[in-house]
Amino acid sequence: MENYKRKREKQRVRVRSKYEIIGFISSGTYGRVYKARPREGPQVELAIKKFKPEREGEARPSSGISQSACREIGLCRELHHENIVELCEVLMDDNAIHMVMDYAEFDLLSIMQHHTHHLRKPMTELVIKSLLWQLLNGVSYLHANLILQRDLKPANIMITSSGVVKVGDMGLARVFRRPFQSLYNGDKVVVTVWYRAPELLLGTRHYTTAVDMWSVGCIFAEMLALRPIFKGDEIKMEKKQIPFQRNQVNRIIEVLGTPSKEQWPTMELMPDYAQMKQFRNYPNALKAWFTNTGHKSEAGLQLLSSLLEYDPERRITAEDALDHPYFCEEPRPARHPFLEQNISYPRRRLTLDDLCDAKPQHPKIPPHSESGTTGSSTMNTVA
Amino acid sequence: MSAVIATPNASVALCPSVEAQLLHSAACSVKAFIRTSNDVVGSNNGTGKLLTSNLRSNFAHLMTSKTNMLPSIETFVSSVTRTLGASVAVLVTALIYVERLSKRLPQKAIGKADTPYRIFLGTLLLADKYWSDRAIKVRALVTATGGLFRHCEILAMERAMLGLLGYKLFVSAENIRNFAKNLGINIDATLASTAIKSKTVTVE
Repeated sequence: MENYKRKREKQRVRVRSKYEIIGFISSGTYGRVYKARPREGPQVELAIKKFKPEREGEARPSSGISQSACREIGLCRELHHENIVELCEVLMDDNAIHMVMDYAEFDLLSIMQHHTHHLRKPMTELVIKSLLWQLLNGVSYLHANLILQRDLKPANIMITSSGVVKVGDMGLARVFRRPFQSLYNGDKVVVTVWYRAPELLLGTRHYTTAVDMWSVGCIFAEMLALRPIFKGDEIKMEKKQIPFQRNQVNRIIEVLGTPSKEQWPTMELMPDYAQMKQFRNYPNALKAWFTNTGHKSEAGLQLLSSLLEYDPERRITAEDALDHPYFCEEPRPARHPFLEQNISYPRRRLTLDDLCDAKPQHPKIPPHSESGTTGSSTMNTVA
Repeated sequence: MSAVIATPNASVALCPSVEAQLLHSAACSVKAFIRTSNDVVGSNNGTGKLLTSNLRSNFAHLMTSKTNMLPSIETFVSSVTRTLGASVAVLVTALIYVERLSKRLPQKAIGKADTPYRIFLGTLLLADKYWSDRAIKVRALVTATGGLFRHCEILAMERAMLGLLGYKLFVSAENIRNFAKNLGINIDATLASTAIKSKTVTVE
């Protein structure tokens, strides 16, 4: 036994002996993310996500390896797809889990912010279409493998410098396939509120892949308008009671109109259906909203409308969305839109002062991701 | 001071026969890890008694006559599982991890007397984190083991287990179905006939 232990100890790889840390990217509740490159072999860029180490004697006793780390490790080790962030290796060093992953130069949030604040012009249709198609391609792969992402939002969509989408942050993802375990577990809230599907807002217990498709619809809309389509004010959880997100629901019906029984036959069965009576009636204004963004594709509006379908049963699936006429009309989606269009965005800013394990640094969290996350149930990924 | 904490209400109640069967196989599979080490421990201290220095007195209700002995693994497994209200999926997943572990460890690997207990707790915790949306609190696990293991020990078990499993935690519904089938359990029928129940545990 002692020999075995010694042998294992010898085999143990120290993160810093194998990888050179180039800079610090971001931090969140889970830990920190660094940019790195391997000391030997091909010179590729990598991201190392270091989860907070467990320390004894802290005020709040640690609950062990974070659940999101478990999920992410469990799922990502089996997933290999061009549009999903690849997990290359997991290392345990200094009692902290280190996940070595593909490095992506951008995320969708930072790109949209660059358009809003610096370029002051919308994203081109070709770029939007290319990114959307790849996002759908990644989500379709997850769904085909019975995995729900459950936290799709711009900050979680990584994009390489050539414009390849990599869906990241699988910390909330899980395998769905009833009846092994109900997806509903009491007080757990999934999906950041702006991207949360109506059935979740109405308290459904048995949700499906359609919740991810709603988020995709919201992300598509956000790329068109460069602002969240349903930017509701989140009502914070009090006394472990899940509040009804009144403002968020209101934002949705202002644009999509009040759902009718014909549109969503099973709406009446939703636990919080009674809450719907408090809202006044709105007509569907999605077409006007779409025209306002300056985009003209009729097929684009149709696809958006199919993604933002109230009834989860009727909402378009990722697989069907990939074959939507929108992607067949010009401009056709590209695999490397930034490369082909010669578009460049400012690279990720790295800092060097956080390389030693001194005090954790908390960079300013943009209001976008801060107000959009729900307590500790979703992770703040800071661009 | 005690607080009542509701455990995840998605824990699916097991019907008694299946439960017994599952718990039995859980006990057997972790026990396999000390088949050799019992002799070692026995020859070392000459008594054959399984000693543990950190045994807390509040495990007394599960102890055999001698207070310095570990409870039987069967008692331990079923007590912990019931107290936590662990679901079928979690328990079967833990067993799948145990099986993977036995394939990964060297043939002549031997453990200490409490190794099976540690393996069981480590795999149970990981399996629960993999499936449940509200993971078992380590504090609740300390309570469920009657204080047999300390908080930091359980955390160490979890970390060690993750490394020993090669960071491979993926388990599909199909894996679970097949594993249960090999144990002679039709998991779909079992689940169809059981209801979702909520359970409360008192935590100090």
